Amino acid sequence: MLDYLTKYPLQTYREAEWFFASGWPLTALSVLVVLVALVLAAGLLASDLALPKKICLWFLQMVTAVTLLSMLWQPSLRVEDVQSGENAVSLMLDSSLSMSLVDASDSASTQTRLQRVTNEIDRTDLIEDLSARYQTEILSFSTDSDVITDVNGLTANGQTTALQENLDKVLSTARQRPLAGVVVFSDGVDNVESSTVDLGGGRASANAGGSGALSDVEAGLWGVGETTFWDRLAASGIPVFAVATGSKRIRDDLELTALTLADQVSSGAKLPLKVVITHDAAARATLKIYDGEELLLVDRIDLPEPGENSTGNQYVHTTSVVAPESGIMDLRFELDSNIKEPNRLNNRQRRIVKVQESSKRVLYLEGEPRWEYKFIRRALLAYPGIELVSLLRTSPNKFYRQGVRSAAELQNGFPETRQELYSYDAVIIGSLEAAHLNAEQQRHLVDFVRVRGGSLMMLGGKSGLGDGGWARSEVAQALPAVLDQSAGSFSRERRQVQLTRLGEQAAWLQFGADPVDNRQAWSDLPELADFQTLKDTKPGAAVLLTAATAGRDETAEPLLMWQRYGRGKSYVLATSGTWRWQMGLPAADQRHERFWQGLAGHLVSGVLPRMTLQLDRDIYFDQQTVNLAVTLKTEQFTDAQNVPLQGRLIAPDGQSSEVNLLADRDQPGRYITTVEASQVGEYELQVIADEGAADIDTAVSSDTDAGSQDDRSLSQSVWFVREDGRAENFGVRRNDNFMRRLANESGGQFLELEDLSGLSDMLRTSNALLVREQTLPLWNMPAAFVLLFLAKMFEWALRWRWNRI
Amino acid sequence: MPGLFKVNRFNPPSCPGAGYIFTRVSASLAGFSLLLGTFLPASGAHAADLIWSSHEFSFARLVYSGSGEGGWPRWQADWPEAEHHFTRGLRRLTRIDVDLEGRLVDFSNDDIFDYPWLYAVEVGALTLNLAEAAKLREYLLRGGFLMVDDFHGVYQWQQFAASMKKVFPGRPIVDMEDDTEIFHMLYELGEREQIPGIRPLMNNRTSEYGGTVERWRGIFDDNNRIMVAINFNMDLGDAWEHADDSRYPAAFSAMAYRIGTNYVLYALTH
Repeated sequence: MLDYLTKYPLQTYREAEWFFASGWPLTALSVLVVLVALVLAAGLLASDLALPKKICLWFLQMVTAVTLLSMLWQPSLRVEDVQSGENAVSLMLDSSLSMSLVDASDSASTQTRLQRVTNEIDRTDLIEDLSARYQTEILSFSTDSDVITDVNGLTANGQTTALQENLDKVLSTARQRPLAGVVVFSDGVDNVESSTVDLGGGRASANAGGSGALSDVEAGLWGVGETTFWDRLAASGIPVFAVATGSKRIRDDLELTALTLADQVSSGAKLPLKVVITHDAAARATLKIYDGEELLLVDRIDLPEPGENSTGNQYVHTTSVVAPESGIMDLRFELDSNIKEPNRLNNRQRRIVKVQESSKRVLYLEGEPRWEYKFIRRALLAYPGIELVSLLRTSPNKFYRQGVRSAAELQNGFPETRQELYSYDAVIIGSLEAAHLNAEQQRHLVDFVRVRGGSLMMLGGKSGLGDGGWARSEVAQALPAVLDQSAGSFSRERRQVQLTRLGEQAAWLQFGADPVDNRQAWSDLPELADFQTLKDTKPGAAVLLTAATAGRDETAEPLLMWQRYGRGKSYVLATSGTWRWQMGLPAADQRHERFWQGLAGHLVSGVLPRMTLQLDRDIYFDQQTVNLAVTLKTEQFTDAQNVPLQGRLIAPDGQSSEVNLLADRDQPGRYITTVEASQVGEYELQVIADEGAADIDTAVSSDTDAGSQDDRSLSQSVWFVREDGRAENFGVRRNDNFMRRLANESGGQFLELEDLSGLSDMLRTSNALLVREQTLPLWNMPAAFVLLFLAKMFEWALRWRWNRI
Repeated sequence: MPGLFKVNRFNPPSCPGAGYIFTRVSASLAGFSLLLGTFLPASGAHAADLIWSSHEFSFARLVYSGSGEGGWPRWQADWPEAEHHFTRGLRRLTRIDVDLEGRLVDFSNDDIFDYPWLYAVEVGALTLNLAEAAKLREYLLRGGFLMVDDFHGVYQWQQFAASMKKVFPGRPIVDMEDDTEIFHMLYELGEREQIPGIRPLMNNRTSEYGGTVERWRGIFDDNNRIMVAINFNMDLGDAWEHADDSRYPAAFSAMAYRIGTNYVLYALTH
């Protein structure tokens, strides 16, 4: 009825632009209205009616007059409207296996997620509505996508969900057709997301055993090399309407969601593990870790009710296992619990870790014998992953070496050449004047961090940091702190160490089982023996520890900080007094050792050897395409270009095949390939660089090169596992974040399934629509005539009552 | 007179030499007490109001309850001249930031853990109760280093070995070979000789109580690091103390300085 009176829907009025179609000036209309008002007033003033009655009649006459005058000027609406069939809309229905789940939260429902979607589409006549206006395409997608004509009868049995990849394909069709929008129905799980090894931009590809001929890879569908899916989505300008289905909470399911662990570990070293468990109810869980068939670890985990000490419904458990002497670790993670779980396939994960027989090498240059030196050495002696090589100035002209591999190592003091210095992974400088190193050595040290990607840590001391003149040295630029240039910044004033908020989050600074225990463990530490003030911290520095006078928190000053510098990292620890933790605590207390081992581990983490191999994922669930990128550096750690690389893929059945790696023309020193893992099981990928190639520096003799074997060998291997029938068992909870991001990045909207009826109207506002401009006249709007009729009727009724007809 | 010797550590001198003067006064009082035939109970040899050293390395001397002839405290042998001389040499010859004032520590409190270097003299008279033995064991296991000196002959050895047995029941005392790292720190001391005390030298001897052959021994930790360096049948303390005495041969003092320097450097590096 309302639509009849207003002639057009109210939505049209909201979106349209008002104007008068007659083209006559609006001032004329205003003048006429004023004149009419005066004439009518003059006529009524002559009558003998009471003033309120005169005003009442004048008002009703004015309504009639103004309405008539307005109609003469022809009021109209200017709208942009969609013409039937001129725009296209794609409906994408997730038909992966996770859509076959029946969510328990749907009371008394036995419908699968996909059935709920199709039923809702039917109930709202969505397809009919859309088809009336748009070319409507319906796709079902899982690993690939197929065009379907009817949503009924669709089954959810896809082994993976390649949502991004399939959405990419749909968006790419916008070149050929006016795509107004995409509607995605999904639980938000994408288990085939974009690979971390970007092969875009016309890179090389080679298959195992293949010829390795260059082929322009179909990398981004717009042919844009480095863009991510999200960049492409935003750039497309096509709104995605993300319709989420499924339950966000599944109380009878635990999931071993993620594992964070290094892909390589030194022989005998601890391998830190971070295990993320998704749960929606309190539970008592048991995590078992096997290496092959050998049980390495059993951890009992009390999972709290979500909301209690857990991030969302994810619980992070940290633990560690000790690496064997050599070989590989075939790690199996299994999660048991007191919950009766219908789906236990997501309680298992597997990883392969390479055990390196060599350690990361840390060079420690110390200018004076002091207790910190001794206790650092003792702490790291028991840490198999770290090889501490130290150079200690004992007398004015003598140095004492410890931990060297040969009589020749460091025999002339601190390395004179880049090559020698670059053989270490990290450098620690203690209480030593900057002037002890010449300008070139200082530049080497800066390049050690910036170019080689090593770590540099400077310690406080009588001749350290600012008091050692480092503020005016070349090295100052690399440090995370601005050093105090005034003398006397170092004092043997005891300070109590405190964790910062960033420090509390650092896994390697965890002394306690939970945050409260951890804070307590830190506050219980004996005071530091000394402290060195800094002028300031640099903007990019992360301060992990502060030091304050006991009982006076307001005196806290930065103690331990680090920052990225170039490819590497730099650190400042503004004390030489952590040894009091060791001497002040019982011998069995391991906090001092754990601090230094953790710090040393952080120093060398991410410090890469000359050749590094990177796979695009940790494990290949239901996927046989494996992308590998190899980064190769010379001994000067410049990009090693045009080096022939030989690759070999060893399949689970022992069969090996050659893999050709080809130079990535966009990134010098990077080589890439794609291999097909056709069998289920574990694979080894070996890569060997041809040392005779011109661009690789000649390897130095073993007695002068302190570098690790891995750095020199120019040969690396990496392991990976392919498993089938697993992907869709993980991430089965509805992922609202992902769906919302799809909508937000594209300019679309996030919808619950129940809001589907509003979708058709939402699509009309799409910026991607091909529209036509229309003028809608309003002068003949029924409401105007009704208004005229009512105004005159009321006027004459009053006249009749007041005997003024 | 327990309070008489509360000189373990000093405030950083408010004026040059204040600490030194205080030490000298205390030393004189110690000598006076010796004359009076009194001795210092070990429990009284610490101070509660001590301030941290302003230097990295302090020569800490262990105050213990054993007493010698006439009842004078054994721990005082050569004190404080021995460390006064040695610390000055150590500062001159090395890069170590040496506190020129020695420190006195005992087992009555936890101050001992602030001094990872510990020197004990005339340990033939060292007797430890269980609590003291436990504290010394803990000190050494945490990373502290103990140098023992100036004890001679079979009886004193047995006395010392019994004390060490209480500290480390299962850890043997072993001879340190010439190629042990501690003899090759700053000085190459593969060959050494007996360092005699001044009294036997005055009697044309180099040994005391029948201890004619010097022994360089040690107690090692699980990582083969020396925790206790044992100088048996010799007296490095005297060699340091009498470095300025023309009656004492300079060669012995020089050797004692070198051995002491190597020991300190070992303690600071291992």
